[in-house]
Amino acid sequence: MNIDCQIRGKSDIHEALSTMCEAEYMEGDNKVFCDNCKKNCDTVLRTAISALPDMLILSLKRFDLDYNTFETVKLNSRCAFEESLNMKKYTLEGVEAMEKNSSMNAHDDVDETYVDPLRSLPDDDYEYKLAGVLVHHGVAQGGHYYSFIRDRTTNNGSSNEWFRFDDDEVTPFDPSQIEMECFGGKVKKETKWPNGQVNTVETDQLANALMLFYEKVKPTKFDSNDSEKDIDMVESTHIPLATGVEVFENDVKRSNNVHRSHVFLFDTEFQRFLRQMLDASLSVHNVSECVTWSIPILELSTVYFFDILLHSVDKNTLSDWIDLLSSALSSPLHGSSFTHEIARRTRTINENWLRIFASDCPEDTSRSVAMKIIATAIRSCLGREEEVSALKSWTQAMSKQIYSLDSDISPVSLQKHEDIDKMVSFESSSLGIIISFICLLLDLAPRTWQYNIDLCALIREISNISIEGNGDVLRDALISVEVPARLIALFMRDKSPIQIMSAFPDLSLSFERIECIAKVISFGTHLYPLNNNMTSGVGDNSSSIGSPCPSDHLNTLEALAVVIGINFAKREMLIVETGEVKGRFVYDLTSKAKESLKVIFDECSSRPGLMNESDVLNYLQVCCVYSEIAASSQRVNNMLLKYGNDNNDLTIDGFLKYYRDASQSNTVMVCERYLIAV
Amino acid sequence: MHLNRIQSWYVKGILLQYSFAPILAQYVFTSSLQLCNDLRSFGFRPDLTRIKSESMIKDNDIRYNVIESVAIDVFSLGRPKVQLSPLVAAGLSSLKFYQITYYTDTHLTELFLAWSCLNKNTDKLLLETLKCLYDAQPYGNEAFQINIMVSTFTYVSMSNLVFVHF
Repeated sequence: MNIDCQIRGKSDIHEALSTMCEAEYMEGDNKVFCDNCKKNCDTVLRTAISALPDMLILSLKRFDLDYNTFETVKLNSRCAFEESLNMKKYTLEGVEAMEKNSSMNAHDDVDETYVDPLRSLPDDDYEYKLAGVLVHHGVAQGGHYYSFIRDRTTNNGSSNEWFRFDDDEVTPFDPSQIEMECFGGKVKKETKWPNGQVNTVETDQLANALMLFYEKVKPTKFDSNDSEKDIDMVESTHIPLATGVEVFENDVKRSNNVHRSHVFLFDTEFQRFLRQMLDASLSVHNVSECVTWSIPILELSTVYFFDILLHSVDKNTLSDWIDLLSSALSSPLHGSSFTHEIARRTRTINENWLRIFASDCPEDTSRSVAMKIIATAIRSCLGREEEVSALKSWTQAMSKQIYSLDSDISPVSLQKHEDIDKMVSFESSSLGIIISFICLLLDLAPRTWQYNIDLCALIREISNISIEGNGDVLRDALISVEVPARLIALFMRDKSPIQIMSAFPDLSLSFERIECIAKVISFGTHLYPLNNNMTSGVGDNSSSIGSPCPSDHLNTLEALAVVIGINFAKREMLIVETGEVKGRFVYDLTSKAKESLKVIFDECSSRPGLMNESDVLNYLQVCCVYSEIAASSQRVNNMLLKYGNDNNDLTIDGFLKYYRDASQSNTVMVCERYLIAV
Repeated sequence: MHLNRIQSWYVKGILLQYSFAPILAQYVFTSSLQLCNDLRSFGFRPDLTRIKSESMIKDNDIRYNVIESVAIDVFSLGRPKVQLSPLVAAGLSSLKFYQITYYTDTHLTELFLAWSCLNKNTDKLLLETLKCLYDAQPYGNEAFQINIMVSTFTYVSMSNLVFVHF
């Protein structure tokens, strides 16, 4: 039995239960039609429990509607309860006894000795003991559920050992903490300052009981005659009886199996074993040995990496795997084998690594790592003459097909003439199949813009691959299927020139139209998301806003630049995140940035290893081309004061620190400056 | 003032609202902006390779304007071997393309412009830019737009001159 308890304005569950059992007088317009009297009569309406269950659930109504804002709010007010609960007052017998007593008292003018009207009812029949508490920690829009449960399996159910069940963590719990953990109300937090001052702040206790589970001390005994009748009825009607265990048994077994396999798969020893096995396979150069065991090990490792490790929350071991897989895939034979696998998987749905990690995966680290590995394999695959000639044939066929179409006015459609079964004999090109699929992903890219930044990174990487003697075969292949035009369309969308819009109508849809289409597909009208969170929080901060922002297009533009031949347009990382202090990211310069700065430093130094005041001024004057701040002597002095040595000269360490600090403070400094301007 | 992640989202939102997209792209999203610009001033390309000194410094030891340097650098690579389709040519000769690119990355805009000027007849682009310049209103946020137009126009003109010179 579940009883909903209104707890607004109630300090404990007895107040809430009493409110439930309060009599309501139906008079005047509210009179109730009486079947006996055949007219509307004054009536007393009351609620009472006719039969108590063995397990009583009290649901505390903590989620309520705020009539001012019409938003669901959570009531965090204190609602006390005890480990034992007597329900006598709330039963039909109890209510009747109390009414009888009160009517008798009304007739007797003097009540000298108070007699409890409920004493005739035996306490044991109404006594409950707390068996569990479901707690909600959080607010109405979100939070976390966990439970405190008394162990009823030992000491014939009378044990007072409690446990906390929080997801997959089960820990012992001291029942004396129930008040603090479950009652709710206000909590005081004291902060002691170094000067001795104590600051007290009173806040709502966000973790509080939502459901109370009471177990009857003396379980109800059924009448033996009734039981026999019931058994007869069951036997005669053949109704299957379930204890509940059977219903969940399969699910529990399945969950346990999944858990066991997860524990095994993510075990560090197992990972080390796989890595060692892959490492050992790297020493194999003999083709026949490669085919017999080295390539199968690579296949197993890549399946483990793409299907398991990249889906894992723990990314700590990724760097080891990336290095090892990159080494393994650097061999043309292994690279070729892997690209065949990627190409084969483009014809599947759930196993398609290219689609999963180029357009579907919300984890930015997983996406970029997957693309890096695929690019490495493609690079080494081109070390095989057979792959190069297969790709060249594919490119010729594609160019012929594309130019046979009037691409200025009609959509460029690619006919799938790649046969995955003929990849082994190189009659069809695995790289061609991959490029075809990349085109398909590009055409869908406006709909998956949040997750496909790395698709453009892959295009950028592979178009930069040139093979000695064979030139830019991959770039030619990408150009043959209009990848540059597709990138322009993806970048410009509805602002694209008319020819591009005609050729790629899907790619040229405006973001607003794409958003409308996506909404229609994803949600019914009753399932509209409550806020924009559903489209946010994808990887970096830049994707947190509901539409693409300029930085989201950087990879697209870089890919376009590299495909059309501006190879040096691919930006090198200048700073790297090294951690987080007090909620703020800490940056450091990358080694390449440091090397470049050292070159500049050496050029600007009049003495080896030192820049004097005049050198710094000259240096800043060159930099002023892009800076809005003039290179003044004041600025030089400030720089030398902060980063110079005792002789007022700048060393390479001070120079690098200047840029490290600038990278650290740039975001905040610029935000402040321009916010004031706004 | 230190902004945490949530605050910086708000800041980005406000800046986007007020059409400060170029600032967002170049300042807020990349805290390495100053470093990036200073490296550019000293002739470092985006991939940290370096342009030749003759593309940076004129005969009389005077430095070229950075835009000039970029153009000379791209031009010095010679005409690319890749044969692009009419669709790509249409995209790269559209002024709108450079306007949007400018909001994303100034340096890339310069590279694309130089590359386009090297490969194609830029008459159409010049005409389109001049028309836009003529139509732009010299007040409010439009002034900002004019800067884009002027830089584009200057660049295209300059690139043509360099092309002729070469």
